[in-house]
Amino acid sequence: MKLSIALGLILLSHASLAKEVMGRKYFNEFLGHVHKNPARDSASLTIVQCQHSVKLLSNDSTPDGWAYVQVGEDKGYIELRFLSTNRPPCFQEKYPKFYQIFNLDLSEMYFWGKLSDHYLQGRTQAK
Amino acid sequence: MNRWTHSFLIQILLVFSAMGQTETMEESEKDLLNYSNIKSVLKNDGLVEEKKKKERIVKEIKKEKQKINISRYNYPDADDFWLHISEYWLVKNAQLLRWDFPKPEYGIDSAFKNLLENFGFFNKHYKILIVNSPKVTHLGLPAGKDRYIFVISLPFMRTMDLTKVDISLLLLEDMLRLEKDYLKKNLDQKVDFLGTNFHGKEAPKKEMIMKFLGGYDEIIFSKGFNFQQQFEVTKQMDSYLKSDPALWGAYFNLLKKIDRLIKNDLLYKDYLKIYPSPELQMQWLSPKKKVI
Repeated sequence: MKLSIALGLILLSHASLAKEVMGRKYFNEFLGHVHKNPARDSASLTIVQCQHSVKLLSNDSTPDGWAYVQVGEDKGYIELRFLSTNRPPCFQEKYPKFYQIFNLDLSEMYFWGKLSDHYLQGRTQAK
Repeated sequence: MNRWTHSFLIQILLVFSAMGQTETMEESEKDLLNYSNIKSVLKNDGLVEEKKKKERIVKEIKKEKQKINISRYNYPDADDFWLHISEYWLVKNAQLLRWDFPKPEYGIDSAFKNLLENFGFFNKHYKILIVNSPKVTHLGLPAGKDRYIFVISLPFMRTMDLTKVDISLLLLEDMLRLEKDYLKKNLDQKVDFLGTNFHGKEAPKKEMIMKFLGGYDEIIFSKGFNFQQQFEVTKQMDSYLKSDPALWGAYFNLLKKIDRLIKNDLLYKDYLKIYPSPELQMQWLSPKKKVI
């Protein structure tokens, strides 16, 4: 009896967790951050690299232009424009041996990730 | 059974076993001789061809693997290289330039986009970084073909009370400098390795990257651009803006404002070293007086 209740609970929690995951996307900038809140200046939970696969989670309160994601144990926000459906081409993957010589430390990775949050980006029309 | 009969039987057995052994050797000899027959059967079955095909595939896989391994040692192409070197310079100078601060939407990006499209600059990608330091007033960094990174100082914008049009004109000036590769030319660093491969050669070292960053520092903080380069950029701005007198006037007034600022505010005294000189730029823009 006890065993069946425990099993039921496990299955229920698993079902609700599976329901939360809406899909997977790839991070498409060189480096970036998973933010605590859906704001560019919000605290960073973790750093993500290009091609990192993130779980998309459902969250009704996520504002437009943002995605609620899970990376490892961390759940937070990434701007939608930094996520792609297909694996993006990345500097790290194209030139792995050359990338190694940058030998980035944690602080450099942090700031490099912050760059894309701070840029005002634009593109003029294609002729 | 007596002794005689027993020994007779043993002898018969020995003779037969000896005969049996001879036959086996003969058989194996025959087998060897018939190998060509088996070979032809295998050939007819296509097994030899299949084996050759598999060997060819294995060879090709090995070749592809080797190719992939060699490509891991590629130097980046020019576009990837300049984008990452420029961004690494921004990362290395994050504390000095103080760009990691909360900022509101200024609408600079959309104003700049309109200006570019008005002058027929299509399919240009740009990134603008606002810094909270007067160390750099405005600047364009290379980021590949048709891609630009701009830096603009918030204290500079505030002190000069720049409008979105003023800022867009400064960025356009910086873009023209980038189009002419002035920063790259002034760096004076060999870039013939770009797009090549260093497999089996001496691996590049971090010092190589740091040398580029050092060159950036020198140009951005002290050496800047020369008079000839400034003259050419100013003349190009003149030719673009002539078609729009309001914008031409805004550009002329902007130079006037900068000239006034650098003559009165010590914080911006180094501006002249980087961009010589707003006073001369105004002269180059002014129509020549006719001597009667």
